[in-house]
Amino acid sequence: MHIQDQHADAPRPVRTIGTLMNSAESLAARVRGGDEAAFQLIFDRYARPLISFIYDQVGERTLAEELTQETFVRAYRCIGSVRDDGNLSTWLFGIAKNVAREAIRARVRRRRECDIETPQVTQLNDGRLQPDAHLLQKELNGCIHDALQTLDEDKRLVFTLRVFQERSYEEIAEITNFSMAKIKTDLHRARLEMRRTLRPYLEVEK
Amino acid sequence: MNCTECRQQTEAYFDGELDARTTESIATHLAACDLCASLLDELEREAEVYKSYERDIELSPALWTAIETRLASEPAKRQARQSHFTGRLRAWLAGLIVAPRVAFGATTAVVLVCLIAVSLYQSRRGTTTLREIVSASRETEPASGASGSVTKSDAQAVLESQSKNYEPVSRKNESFESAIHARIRPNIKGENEAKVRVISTRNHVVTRAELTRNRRRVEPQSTNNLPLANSVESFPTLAAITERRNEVEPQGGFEGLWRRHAEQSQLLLRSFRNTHVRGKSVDVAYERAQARRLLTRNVVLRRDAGRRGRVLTAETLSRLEPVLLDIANLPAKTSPEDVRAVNSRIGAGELVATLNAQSTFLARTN
Repeated sequence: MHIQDQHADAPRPVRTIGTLMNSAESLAARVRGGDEAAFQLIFDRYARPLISFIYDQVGERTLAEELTQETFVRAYRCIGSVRDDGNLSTWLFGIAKNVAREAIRARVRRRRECDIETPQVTQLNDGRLQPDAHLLQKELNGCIHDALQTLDEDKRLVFTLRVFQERSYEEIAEITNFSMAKIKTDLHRARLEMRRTLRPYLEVEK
Repeated sequence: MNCTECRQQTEAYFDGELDARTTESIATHLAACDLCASLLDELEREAEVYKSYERDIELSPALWTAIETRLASEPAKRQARQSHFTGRLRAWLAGLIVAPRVAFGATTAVVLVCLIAVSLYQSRRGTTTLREIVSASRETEPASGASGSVTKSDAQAVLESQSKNYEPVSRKNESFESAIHARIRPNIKGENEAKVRVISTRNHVVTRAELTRNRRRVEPQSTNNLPLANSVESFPTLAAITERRNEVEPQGGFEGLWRRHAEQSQLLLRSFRNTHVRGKSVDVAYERAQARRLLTRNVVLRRDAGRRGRVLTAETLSRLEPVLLDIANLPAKTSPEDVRAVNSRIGAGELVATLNAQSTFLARTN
């Protein structure tokens, strides 16, 4: 299935006795104890958000899959070093962030911009055409993807963690090791840049 | 609060990052200031747009396989982890002996020996599974276990004869369900052929020969009439049983495997239930692959649970099986209606809650 922002409509998980057994704490402890099936449970739980996050950073499908694989392999190797089992998710995203950054710095980035002067975008503005909703969504998907790639690394990192992964500022600080001030500034600027690029679509939404 | 202060904190307010007092101040200001409220509206509109974002990437079942392969090539690291644990255990036990608290150390050692003995006993009970299977096929009482010695070659001969000359009872569904059915039908040629009457409903398929041989009534696996409902009455071959033997007898034996199966099934159902249904088709390739993997294990566990007299476990597995089959039978890109139908079945059976409760109980008692 196409990966979407999964947390948008999902209710916040309610902590009940039943979920304690599968809690991140118990899964991490079980993996450290040699229970390899528990690691697959960790994969089942976190693979989707991680591959979405990595894809948002690197922008390439095949590369995102490879980096997700690398993330889980590193996680398995280093699970003994998890300081606090309750932050397994944050820890995994931290690994994913490092893996993605290494990949970005290792390759030449191709910048693809969503050109607002293209006829299609212009037509959206003047309302003369009524594009099919599906085509519009597809175009929007491409534009969001391209717009993300035009952000610099730090802003893209903070923006995707906040907007798509719905992390709190504190969690973002833990994952990125950025200061709170930098997070707020980068997030604000990223929002402005994304708004500028996606303005035609935002006006259609109005 | 003035507009300048409000605008500086609007984003943090929208993200829910402010303390209660500041949040209240901003909310009060926004209620009275259209200009600042329009900023908030813009953030909300953007959030809606981002929620609709669909990435052009799928979670491939091959990803986990690739990870497993890579991890399997790291035995040295695993050994190091295990020897580290063993070394620590040895040092701890040595400390007990050396310390003056000999009585405490001796008591601990006795407790450990008892625990090991219990786990060995539990694992030995599992070996009756094979005997019981063969006994059932020879129309003897499976529960007694007093069928005499049963060699592996006997069991293999019986099971292989059962899987020969398979004729699918129903050709309506040539999908994955048929592949499972292909494992199981007894040879119905000869004098039994005249007595065979196929009983087929929307919910289960059995043969009269099997009913006679096993001396039991096969109850329908599911009573609801949702269009995607199907159940499987299957009997694994010896190859499947021996292949799965390590799964049946690993850490914690049947209990351990059932607990892991419940956890993984629960995760699959939750994931499927949370599927975002947008557009004309939904890609469920990953869930389908998961369901197929779990379905085979479900069949083995259900039969084993039945023979062990684990009524509640067998009943839960029976309710889970048709749902796994439904998901396994879905095409990689399916319609939203099919997804909703399966989800309503998951909800109606309260499967997630049942699996959760049972696996929690197992975790506590083991």
